Amino acid sequence: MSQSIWTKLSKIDRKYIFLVLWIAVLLPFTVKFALPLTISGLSRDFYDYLDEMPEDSIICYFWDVSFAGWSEMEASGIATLKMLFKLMDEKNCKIILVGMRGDCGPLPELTLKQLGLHPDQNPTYGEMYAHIGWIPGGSVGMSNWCKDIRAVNPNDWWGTPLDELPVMQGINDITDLDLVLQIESGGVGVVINQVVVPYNTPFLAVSIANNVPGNLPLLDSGLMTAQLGGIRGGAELEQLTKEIGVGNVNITAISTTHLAIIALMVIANLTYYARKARGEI
Amino acid sequence: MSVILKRREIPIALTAFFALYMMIAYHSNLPWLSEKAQLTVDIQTFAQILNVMALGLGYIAIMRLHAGYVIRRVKHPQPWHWSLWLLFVLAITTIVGLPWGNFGVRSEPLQFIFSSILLPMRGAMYAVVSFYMASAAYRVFLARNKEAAVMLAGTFVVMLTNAPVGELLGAWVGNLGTWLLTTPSMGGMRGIRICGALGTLILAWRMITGRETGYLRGAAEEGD
Repeated sequence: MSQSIWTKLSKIDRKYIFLVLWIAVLLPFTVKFALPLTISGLSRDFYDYLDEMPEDSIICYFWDVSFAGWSEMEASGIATLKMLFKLMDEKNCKIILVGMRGDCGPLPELTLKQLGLHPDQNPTYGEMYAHIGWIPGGSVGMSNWCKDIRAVNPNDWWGTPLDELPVMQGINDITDLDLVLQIESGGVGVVINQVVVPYNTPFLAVSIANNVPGNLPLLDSGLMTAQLGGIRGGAELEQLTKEIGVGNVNITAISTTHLAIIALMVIANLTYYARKARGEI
Repeated sequence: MSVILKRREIPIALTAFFALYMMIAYHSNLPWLSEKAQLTVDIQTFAQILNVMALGLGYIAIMRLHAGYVIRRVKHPQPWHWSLWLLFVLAITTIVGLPWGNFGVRSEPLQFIFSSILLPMRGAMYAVVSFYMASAAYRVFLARNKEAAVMLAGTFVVMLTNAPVGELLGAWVGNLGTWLLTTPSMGGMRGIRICGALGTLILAWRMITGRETGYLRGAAEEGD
């Protein structure tokens, strides 16, 4: 007995589902088109807070994103970094980059290279910005770092003593910082527990989309000042800063893939109810 | 002597002392018992050193484990030639990462491993998950009952909220998605966070009082 179309659809090989998703991912990269993007309140607050930073502020940007998460976080990470460097140029702000775990040492270096701000490319490195390595020891390491930066990171990522970097003059502990940002794919607990609660330092998070709902109570309670979420947040910040980059390309792919998955789920449900009506289930 | 050192009371007492000390120091402002007290700083520095040494211990452990697999030519938990490959990659990364000649942590070859191998491979692994998620959504995300139907509707709205295409349907999609995230979802998340914190406190208390001893055992002794 031949199977009905609904039965066939319900047993469809997953390679066809993969193919549909592949087409949805590739479409925006082969056929150029853009969809309107409304700026969300979360991204607007994030941008406004940074935009209104006072002159001569000292900003620390913690990197806590895995290599796996970087594919999603690249857009928001780079858009945020570009905005920080704009603040450096326009408002004389000092920027300090530091990793929160071992694999977060190379990432800021790669990003600086991408932006032409690597020490090999930019002789002004160390004057207004620095990448001071990574903090070993997780929560405990962060606690120590807050009390004495040089005790944990005596040298920058390239081995130059912090005392020889003009940007680090007068910066000894967390109380010397005006703002802390964290790009994260693994949670904001360490910064909340070791930086925000004990020292009351303003804190902005650049979070992977998965973590955005979980961080909302922290935002609501005031422990977190603002949050930029996932690729969409990156694309929105690119539009706010008028620095269009990878986020605005990726967000179209997000649209097409989400549409494809929704269409698949609709088909699956139609199939389920059609089979139920025919008494096959 | 070795029998005394193996007694469980010693690590339990050490755990109790350090855990209580750090908990009190975190909340206290006394000059001799606070976050900034010298003893607190010394304990934390010691913990950081232990943490870094644990990386070395992990390196040795993974070498021992996989060298054993290769020597015994095991087929489970995975064929031994994967272990051989792991040891080979471990050796190459170690050689390239050690500070000699043109190598080192910040050398071009290690940067190449990070930026041209590790970064795209990890990104690819992460991306592959989305294909399996799409397949799984097709198979199991069915409105079999009222609860599942509500969940399915919420999923549609949040997916459309997170993608610009949802805005083509009207502002109500974004508004509804934002409401879902900031009201029911946030309420649930707040509950989960509070329960998680209470659970952590209870676990800490059980560890301090010696009732929770699972962390003292190695994997081999599990279930003893």
